[in-house]
Amino acid sequence: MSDTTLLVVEDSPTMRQLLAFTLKRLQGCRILEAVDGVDALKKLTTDRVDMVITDINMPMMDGLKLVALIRGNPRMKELPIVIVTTEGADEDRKRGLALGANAYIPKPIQPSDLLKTVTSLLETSRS
Amino acid sequence: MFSRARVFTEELLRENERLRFRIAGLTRGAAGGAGGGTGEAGDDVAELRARVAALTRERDDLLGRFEQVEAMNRNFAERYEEIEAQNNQLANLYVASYQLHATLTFSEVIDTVKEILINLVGADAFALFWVEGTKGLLRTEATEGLSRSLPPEVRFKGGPLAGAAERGESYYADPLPPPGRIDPARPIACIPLRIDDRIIGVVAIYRLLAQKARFTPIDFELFTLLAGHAATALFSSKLYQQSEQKLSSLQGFLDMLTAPSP
Repeated sequence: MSDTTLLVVEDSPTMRQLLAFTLKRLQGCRILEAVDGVDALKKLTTDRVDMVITDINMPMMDGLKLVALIRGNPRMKELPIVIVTTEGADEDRKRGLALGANAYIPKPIQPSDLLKTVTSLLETSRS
Repeated sequence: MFSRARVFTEELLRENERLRFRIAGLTRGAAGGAGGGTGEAGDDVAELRARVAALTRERDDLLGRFEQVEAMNRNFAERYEEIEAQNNQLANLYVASYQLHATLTFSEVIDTVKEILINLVGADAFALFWVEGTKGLLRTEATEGLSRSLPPEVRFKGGPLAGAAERGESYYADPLPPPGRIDPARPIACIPLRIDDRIIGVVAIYRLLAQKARFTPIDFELFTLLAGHAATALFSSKLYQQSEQKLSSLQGFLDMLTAPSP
């Protein structure tokens, strides 16, 4: 996992800190934080990012719009995206995955599930 | 023609000779086996039997050790899971307490309590009440996920909310009722926020997120944390806010007194 940069997009400082705290357990991972979709897009243009972990309900630009914009950009269309959200209904999950997210994790998160998902997606994207 | 017949006859004779020797050898071997074997063969058999017994013992020993190692592995795996769960609990508690004490602004502490309830507990509908001096009177400080807003001040006679506000009793519905219309007087969980013996507020949870079926052990740890840390964070930020307001009023008054008269 060394030399890997993960971008956490979450408006709640509590959740952002918990996600960053959890993901730091992956050895050598660098964590970038963004407070909404607009902030995330800025960071995606200035930094090399290997994966985006995003919430859905955020001000300015929500997570679904962010996923759609990432998938619409040829430079980032292969970027792995994990949605972490309180929207746990089946239709929400289907909508997120249909837009191009690689995984959908409902809150409250189990840190071990998040770590497994992130590790597996990073391995797949590198193979 | 004759020479070919002669060669053929000689070949037959040689083959005949070879087969006779072979039959004689096999007959000797069969006779030796039927008679219980010679001394040398008997020793070999005994040695082989001893070897088989030793190998059987070794195999049983290895199987026993394999089972022991397997049991140890299972034990390690269970311990690992326990430690992993504890780590997760500690991470949640650390983040929650860090965020609660990261600000002295009352509204931000309220926001943090809401974030903890939504993101870490998985509460979908809840309310945060402030206990007013009068017995049983609660002021609604914040709500989330309630279809109808609660009145600014509410009085609950009896029930879990009164129990939490008056006597500091926590309440958790068990089993959880099926999701339905929310009755403000009937929460599924009530957590009194207290500083020592003084109850300063109550968190009432009315519904969990659809994907959350029940409360988990980490939720109860978070409720304990909220009961103490949220209480002190809310109380100190409220005091700070009040002192800032008083300071501002006093400063205004002093400015007015010391201002040069026109």
